[in-house]
Amino acid sequence: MTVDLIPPSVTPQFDYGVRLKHDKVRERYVVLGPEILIELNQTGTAIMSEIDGQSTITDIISRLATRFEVNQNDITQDVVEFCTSMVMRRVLRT
Amino acid sequence: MNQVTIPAPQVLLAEVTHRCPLQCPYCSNPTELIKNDKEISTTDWGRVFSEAADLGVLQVSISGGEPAARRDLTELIRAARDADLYVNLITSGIGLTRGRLDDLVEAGCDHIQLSLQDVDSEGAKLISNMDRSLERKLDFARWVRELSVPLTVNAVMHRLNLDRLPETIELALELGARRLEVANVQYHGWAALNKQVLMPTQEQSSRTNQIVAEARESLKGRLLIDYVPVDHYAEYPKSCMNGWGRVALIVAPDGSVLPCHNATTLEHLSFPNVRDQSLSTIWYESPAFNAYRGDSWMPEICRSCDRKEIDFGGCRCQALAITGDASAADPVCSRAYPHALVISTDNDPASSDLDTEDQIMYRPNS
Repeated sequence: MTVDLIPPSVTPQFDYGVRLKHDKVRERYVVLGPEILIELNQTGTAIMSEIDGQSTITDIISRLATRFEVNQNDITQDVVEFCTSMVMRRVLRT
Repeated sequence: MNQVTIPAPQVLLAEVTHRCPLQCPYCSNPTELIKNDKEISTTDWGRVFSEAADLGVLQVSISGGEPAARRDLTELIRAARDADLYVNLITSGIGLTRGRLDDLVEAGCDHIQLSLQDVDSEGAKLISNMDRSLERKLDFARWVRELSVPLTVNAVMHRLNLDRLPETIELALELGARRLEVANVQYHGWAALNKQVLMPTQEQSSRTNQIVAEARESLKGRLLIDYVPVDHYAEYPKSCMNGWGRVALIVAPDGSVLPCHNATTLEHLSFPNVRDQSLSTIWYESPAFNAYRGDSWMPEICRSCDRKEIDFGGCRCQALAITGDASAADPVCSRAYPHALVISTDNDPASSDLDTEDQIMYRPNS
């Protein structure tokens, strides 16, 4: 099934009752929310750590590109798709 | 003997009391309710939460009975948050004033799950055995929304209210719920005693499957719908508790630790207590938690089945209740029992003609 991607100009923030947590027992980051427990991989952790309710997806892409020394265009699609999936699961709201 | 790798638990169900102002005939508490004077203390619960967090638990669901029947509920929630757990409160909404709800939220309650007996006032009364229970719940749901706490509506479905499923979905939207659980009654404990009244018809069950599928599609992004189908009409067992001693543990009001709500019906097992042992010892080493881990306990038909990593052998309590053997294949399984063991051993509920009110066996308040 195809889903409309959210535009990179939006400012995502954690939805009510959702937060990021370091899981010290399993040494990973997880998203916790109402009946939500999502294990994040490194990419997911990097993106979610940038969600501050102030930055647009474009800002986030730019910071990630700098941090990981990659071209913005190479990661735009992945970041937008990831954020869209998080919005669909109501982990993020825009 | 197969070596079983035991994963750390992720979820704790803290059943802080069995007391409840409602008397629903499908209550998930055991038929033998634990009395008030056996309940463990605030301090005990604080220790349980912190041991659980150290063990790897990430989420706690504080449930009952009605958890608000405990006067120290605010302290319990604060203790769970202090242990850095995500706190779900599972409540009937009855017995919580607006002021008390403010305190619970201030103490760190992350998410509230409100049970709903029926969208119809009379229907709600019939199930809860309490006047105006629906109206009080609706007030409560509004307060939750005013506080911007995420709300899940847990609609327990059965023969008497399944025909109002579309209205139930509407109400969840109106209340601003982010999630709706369409949870068919699971026929254990109290519900098993009331099966003749509550078991939906096969036709209701298939219509429900369809309504849920359509609503999920049309409400995508607005309302998440979780669905628990009627177990007895399924082809394969459900993955009961996501597998025995794999993901979750339950601490009962008296401090006993169980792998599932109904485990006390498995009388050949003795369940350890948080007052005697650490949660870690109980999870990793107790005979009760190790009894149905892995596959060495399974009958051959399950051990050689490709679904054993999906349903982990299904429900032990149901196996015992229906076959008399707790290690038997789950009675729901169509591979193990080609002749539909569950349905054929019961009367066809669709054919029985009942005077409902006289037939309901309510659970007592405590």
